[in-house]
Amino acid sequence: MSDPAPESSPASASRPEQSATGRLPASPGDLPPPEQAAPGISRRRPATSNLSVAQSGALRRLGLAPAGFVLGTVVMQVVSSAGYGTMAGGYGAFGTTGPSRAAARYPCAHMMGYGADHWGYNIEDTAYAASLSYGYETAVTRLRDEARTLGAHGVVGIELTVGDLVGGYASWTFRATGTAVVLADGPPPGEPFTTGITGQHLERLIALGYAPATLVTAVGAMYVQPNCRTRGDFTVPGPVDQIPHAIGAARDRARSALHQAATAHGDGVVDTRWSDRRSPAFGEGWIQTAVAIGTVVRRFDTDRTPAAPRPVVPLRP
Amino acid sequence: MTGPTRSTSPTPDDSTPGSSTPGGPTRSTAPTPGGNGAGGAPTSDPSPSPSPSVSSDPTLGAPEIPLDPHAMAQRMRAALAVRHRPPAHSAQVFASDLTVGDLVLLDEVGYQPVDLVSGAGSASWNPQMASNQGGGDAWAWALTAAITSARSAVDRELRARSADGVVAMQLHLDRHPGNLLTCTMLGTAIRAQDPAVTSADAGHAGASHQGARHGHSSRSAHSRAAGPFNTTLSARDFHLLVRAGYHPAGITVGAAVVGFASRSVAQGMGLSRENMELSDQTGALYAAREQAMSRMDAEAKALDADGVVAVTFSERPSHSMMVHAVEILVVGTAIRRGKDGHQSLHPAMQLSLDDPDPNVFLRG
Repeated sequence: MSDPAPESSPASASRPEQSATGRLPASPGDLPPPEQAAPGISRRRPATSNLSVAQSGALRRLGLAPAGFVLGTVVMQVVSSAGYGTMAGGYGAFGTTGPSRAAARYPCAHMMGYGADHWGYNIEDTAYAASLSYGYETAVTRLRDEARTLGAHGVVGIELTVGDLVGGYASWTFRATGTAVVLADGPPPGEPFTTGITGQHLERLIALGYAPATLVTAVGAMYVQPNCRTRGDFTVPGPVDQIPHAIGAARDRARSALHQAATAHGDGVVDTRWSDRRSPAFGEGWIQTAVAIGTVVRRFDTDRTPAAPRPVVPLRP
Repeated sequence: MTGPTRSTSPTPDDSTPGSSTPGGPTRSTAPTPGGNGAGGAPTSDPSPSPSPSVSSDPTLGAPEIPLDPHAMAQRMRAALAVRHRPPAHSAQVFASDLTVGDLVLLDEVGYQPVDLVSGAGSASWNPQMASNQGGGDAWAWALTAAITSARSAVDRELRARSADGVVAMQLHLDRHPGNLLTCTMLGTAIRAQDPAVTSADAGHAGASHQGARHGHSSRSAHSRAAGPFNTTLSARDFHLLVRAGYHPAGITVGAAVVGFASRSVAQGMGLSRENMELSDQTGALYAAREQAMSRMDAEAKALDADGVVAVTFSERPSHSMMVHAVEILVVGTAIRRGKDGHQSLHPAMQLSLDDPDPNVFLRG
């Protein structure tokens, strides 16, 4: 068998990496053992994360390295103030003698004095809002506990989900996931910060001079028992007040909770993911919910690194 | 964002910065705009950026400003350290649903968030009344009323907070049941950082050097006396609009419902054998469109606007044995031009060397 090709170095047969010039190793025996092929491989245990490559790169530019993928879960029995306990609880579903003074009442547009489907009211559903708040907050607390045991300075990219994982009526699974991060040569880790922000967005937040403080979950819920006009009864068309009032009241509650959290922990709230939901309840009634999940931030530096964004038109095929 | 880029060729003409000199900290990594562009450019730059054309915006000639990792790690340390100090517990906290990118873009044109503002409006109508010509007015009225009352609610909240306007407003229309429309609006109220440059009486554009780095001439297009503006434009689009010398005035709406009668019961049930145009329905479409557009036009004129942008156009038929109608709804943002007119941005062309998304070819 002739020599495949002359090599510049006489020891080339035992230096397969020189075949990077294009020649394949002549036989499997020519392949370098793993330690030689990549001498830098570390033997320490790698950290898990749910960061994308770009996010990981941005965090590393901030000096942050992932400490581990962290998770917090809780299964809750969600209750409503205006649910099954309505009759016993004193709100009253029937007639005009129903809800307490705390409810906003919407009389029948036909000027009829009777009939539960003609009279309506809105009342705050404090139990429902408390169930949701407790579920979200407990999930985040457990996630933060995991991060603390990892010695993390904070948790980024937190996603909160609610699902029907376990099954059963009104039992919801609240789940929080995120990546715990550690600042290299940082101060001793205390209480980790929590935020839904991650990657390049966190980089830009720091450049703006804001520090993430804590994730905040704000919930507002109103039980709506619609009157005839609110049901869309076309014999009495016109402006409908009950729906905007319910939406406004639920949103107001959530917004106040955001303000309270901002006042207690920082200077403002950013990156708020907001959702308004209508959950069907008794008969034609529903629970109007507003849920806001945001990050409280604190200003640590008034000097901002300018961004100077440039408009660019991409030439795509 | 892979690293610093430098323009390796000098700009063809000396682009003198206009009266709007950017404020803020000096950028030590950039060559002086308008000066000798080759002065600060290293010859061994592996990834030269295309040199942008002449423009009046000085930052367009400057290369991308990198975030220095060492400085950023220092800032991260300071960000962690601040948590050991007790918070101010001030009453002036802000709440917003802005992303960090939105915050940066608004900051660059001189606006800061104030609070979340919300509005909702709801109205119902009798759909049977749309079965003859002109009977759609109650329906169109209900659409407009729901959106207008949501808009007024937002306006009240803006005035209560002394905000200049609201940007990136989410506007949802919910038709449940079919003859009841609920309009909800939610957005972040913003305020200009330097009040002097917002008033139209403040004088020449570019009066402030402490304020935004961009968008000075659009300030003349918005006066606090005219009332707060609202828009569904995203923070990114708002940033571009303001840099181009315009300012949003408000959301404008035009709704029209035109009913038409079938020629015969047979035609109404689709039993006609002839291949013919259904001219009543075509006519109804044209009429509805004209009415909707002219109503939106009237709202824009009332706002003293120069144009309407970002218009969404929705057309909704309603057919049953009794009711034949077309509903057309147009919603847009009215804008005003600043006294310096249109400011060209001269966007740079960019060609990515990455493989395009496979969907690009599938979409055609």
